[in-house]
Amino acid sequence: MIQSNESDGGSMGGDGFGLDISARQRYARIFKLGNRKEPLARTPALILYDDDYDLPVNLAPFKCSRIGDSLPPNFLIKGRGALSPPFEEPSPIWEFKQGNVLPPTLSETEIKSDGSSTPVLSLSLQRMMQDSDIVNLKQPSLVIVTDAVQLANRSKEFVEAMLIVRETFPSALIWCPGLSGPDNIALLTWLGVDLHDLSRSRQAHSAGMLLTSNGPRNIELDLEGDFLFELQVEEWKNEIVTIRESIRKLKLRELVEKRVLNYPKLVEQLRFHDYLLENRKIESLTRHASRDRVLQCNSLSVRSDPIIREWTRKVSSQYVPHNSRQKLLILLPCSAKKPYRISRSHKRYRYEIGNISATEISITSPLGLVPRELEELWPAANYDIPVTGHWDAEEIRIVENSLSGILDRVKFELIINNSGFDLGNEFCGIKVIETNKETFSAEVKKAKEELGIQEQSIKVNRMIEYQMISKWHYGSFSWLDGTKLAGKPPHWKIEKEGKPFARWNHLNSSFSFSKAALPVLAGKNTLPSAKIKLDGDWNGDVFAPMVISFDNLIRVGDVVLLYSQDDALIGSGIAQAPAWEWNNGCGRLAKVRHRL
Amino acid sequence: MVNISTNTDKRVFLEKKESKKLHFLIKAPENYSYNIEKKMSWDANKPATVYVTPELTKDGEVCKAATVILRTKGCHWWWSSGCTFCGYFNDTRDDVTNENLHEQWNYSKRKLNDFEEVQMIKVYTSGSLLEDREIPIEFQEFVLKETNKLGKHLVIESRTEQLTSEKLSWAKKINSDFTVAIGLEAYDDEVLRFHINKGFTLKSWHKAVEQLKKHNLRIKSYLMFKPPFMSEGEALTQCIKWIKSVIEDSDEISINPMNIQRGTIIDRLYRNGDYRPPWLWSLVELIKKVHDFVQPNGEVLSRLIVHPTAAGKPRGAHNCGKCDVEVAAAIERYSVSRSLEEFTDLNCKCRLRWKEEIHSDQNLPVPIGVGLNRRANVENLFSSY
Repeated sequence: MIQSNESDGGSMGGDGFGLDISARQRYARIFKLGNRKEPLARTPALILYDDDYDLPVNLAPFKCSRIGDSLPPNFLIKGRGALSPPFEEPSPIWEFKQGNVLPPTLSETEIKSDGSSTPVLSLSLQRMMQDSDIVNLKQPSLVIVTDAVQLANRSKEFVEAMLIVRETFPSALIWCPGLSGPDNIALLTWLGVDLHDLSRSRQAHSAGMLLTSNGPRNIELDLEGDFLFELQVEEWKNEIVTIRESIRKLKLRELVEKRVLNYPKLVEQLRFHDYLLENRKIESLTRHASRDRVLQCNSLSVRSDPIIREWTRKVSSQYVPHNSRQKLLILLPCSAKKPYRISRSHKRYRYEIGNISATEISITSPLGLVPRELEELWPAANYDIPVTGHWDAEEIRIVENSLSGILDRVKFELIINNSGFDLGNEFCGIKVIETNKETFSAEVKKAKEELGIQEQSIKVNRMIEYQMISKWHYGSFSWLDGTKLAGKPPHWKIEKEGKPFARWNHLNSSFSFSKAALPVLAGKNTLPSAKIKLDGDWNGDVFAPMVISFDNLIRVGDVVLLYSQDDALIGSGIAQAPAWEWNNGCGRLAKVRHRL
Repeated sequence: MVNISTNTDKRVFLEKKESKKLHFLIKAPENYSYNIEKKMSWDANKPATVYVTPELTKDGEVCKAATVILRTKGCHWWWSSGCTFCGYFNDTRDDVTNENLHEQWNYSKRKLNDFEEVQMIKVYTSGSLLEDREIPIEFQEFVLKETNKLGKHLVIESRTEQLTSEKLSWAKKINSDFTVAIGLEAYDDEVLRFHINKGFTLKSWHKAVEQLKKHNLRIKSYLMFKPPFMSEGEALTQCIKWIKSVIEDSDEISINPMNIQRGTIIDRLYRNGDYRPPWLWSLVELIKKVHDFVQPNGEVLSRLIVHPTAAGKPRGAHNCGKCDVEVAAAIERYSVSRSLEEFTDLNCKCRLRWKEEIHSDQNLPVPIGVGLNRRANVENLFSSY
């Protein structure tokens, strides 16, 4: 459980200016700036500087002006519209002391920065490394990474720094002066950068190039007219709109994968970011996603996406088939339709296999293996990939590693391979029977007889699936003890002692729990939890200022058990934000579902 | 469950890295084995370098000047700390004796035909000639006496702390007319402390100037263009201010645009992309901005010299590569002609890029600047970050 620091307001930045979140995807967020009901602007947005081009407030809500010419310099950051309550005058007005800054090369230097901390935090790699006071700061409203241009040249350190800054200051806007352009803003947004400036486009313009989302290019005067700076601004507008749309539709990853191809550095940064999340086994990824969501896996770089890596790692190292299904393993091909079971081909396989106690696993890319019990889960139920029928070396390695990982833990007696993936006659010491459309049914029937495999009713089958899903998500399924299924497929209800206990919500692949289930789940430590402070009647949802402590495993879509300050279980909510945003974040963190 | 209050390592970066004082980072290259080996390979009886350049006399007449850079023990400030950009330690030997220095002098004299063709001799020591810990008093006396005897105007370099009344009175008795060049670098205590680690303050410089004026000696002030940890735009803004601030106390102001000397901390920054040497356009702009202050209505208050070492090379002040020779030559000519006409008709495509870089540097919180590789193909301009 993480103790939350003090914070100023649920929908306010650290300095009380209007800030709320309208959409998020991992570290990328669309902040609403100004009055929550009628925001003046949204991020990603621009920050203008002196003698800059005049742009509308909804595109460029801030202006940065230098004060005097003394060293180290001071700046004023001003809202160009009424961004702070009572939303009448242009606000906020923040004074920012840049302080002396050593370049990233000298980050190990033991010099304390004299840059400002709040409401605008001046950060450099050196300060991040050396200033121990930063982690205990009151949340700043704006974080300016002053050496970002140089830091970005060191891909690994840059993404590490941005990740830590983003997580440490969840309700601050982040600006990397001089770094952003339409060509890299998608990745920067993915890393959590919110504000940008025109410096890069101005430099491109001075070099006679138009800086587009695909990188710099020459213009064709006869087609595009005069080379005016307005063309550069149009590129910004188009890319900002594209990014916002991508975040709203949870498609930013796909956009980033396209944009990083502009430069090798961007590819490096995305890869390092992926590795970093994977190595930290970060739990801030989504656990439950809407059935409508499609994870488009068109690019090879999707294989390094932590959500994909997490799946392959867990299948390879943790997944254990149910103990009633450890004799026969049936390998199947994937299908375009998800979850597989609703596809025509899988309906046929299920018919041919019947309700028997065998483990069914589909072979696919980029996830490698998808066990039948888990095929309704994110991202197995949501991915889409171009089909060529060709397995490349890495795909083969992923499948073989995952399969051998499972077979190390469970010694099946036979594998029936109808997947089309070549395993030979034996794999990990287990006999493999290759089948095809014509022979599959007969081989399953034969194996069933020879291995003495029992039938399993539809209800048992479904309960096993629930157990496996619970184990996958929460590490155990003891909360299902004493429960039974009622109703008819596909709308099964989980009941305990004749009363509703939980049900499977196929729209977002998660369990919905009844009020009665909450004490049981609490007793079993099944779900992530948070402790909140209540002042008088508890009506609304959960916002950051209410949070006393929280579980660092919370992911978007999780059911979170809510406790009062005196440790009483008071209800549950659906997490709208991952754990890192619960420490001084802004906006709604959880929608309350039950109040006890 | 994790409790944030139990996190004893309170750095933002969880991966703790060893911290070092800037002093050790500045000094580290000196102790690399190849640098030690290089230092000990120098011939102690030969000067570091000797050459002749065109100059102006104090009356503004064109003349020739000999520059003799002696190989010495180096600068006492370097022994205890050192300036961030200084690479002179590369040219020193720890065991140089009085006899060696005499040998070096004789070598220089022979090489330059007994200094017959020059009217001025600049004797530089990678430190301060009048510092007893660096240069034996006997040799100090010899140089003062010898140049006086030859009738050549002497120019020496010094830090401020050596320029006491006592020392200058002593020197003045031996040679009544010489110029002392002080490496002030910046007229800003914060820059002297943080950017340069100069080891003295403006107060110390003012005291030295007072003494030099009292002894009626000529004062030359070195100012650095674009010290470490400073953007191009900031360097331009600040250097203009500094020139205006030192004009009244300087007979000559010599602007030294940063050049990257091997094995220094600035070399490390340069190689990592954290520092780019100045644009030649910045030097042109600097001259244009201060010209009327230096010579109001044609009256020369102070002579302004801008000599970009290694101009046009990647490690010196440079432009795009196409216009460097022309622009550098104009800057050099200005030091002698004192005329802005040297810059008439100078132009290049890269000037717009320079202008834009300066604008961003001067208006954004980018302390190290937004500068890109100015010689990269335009299509690859943004590929480095």
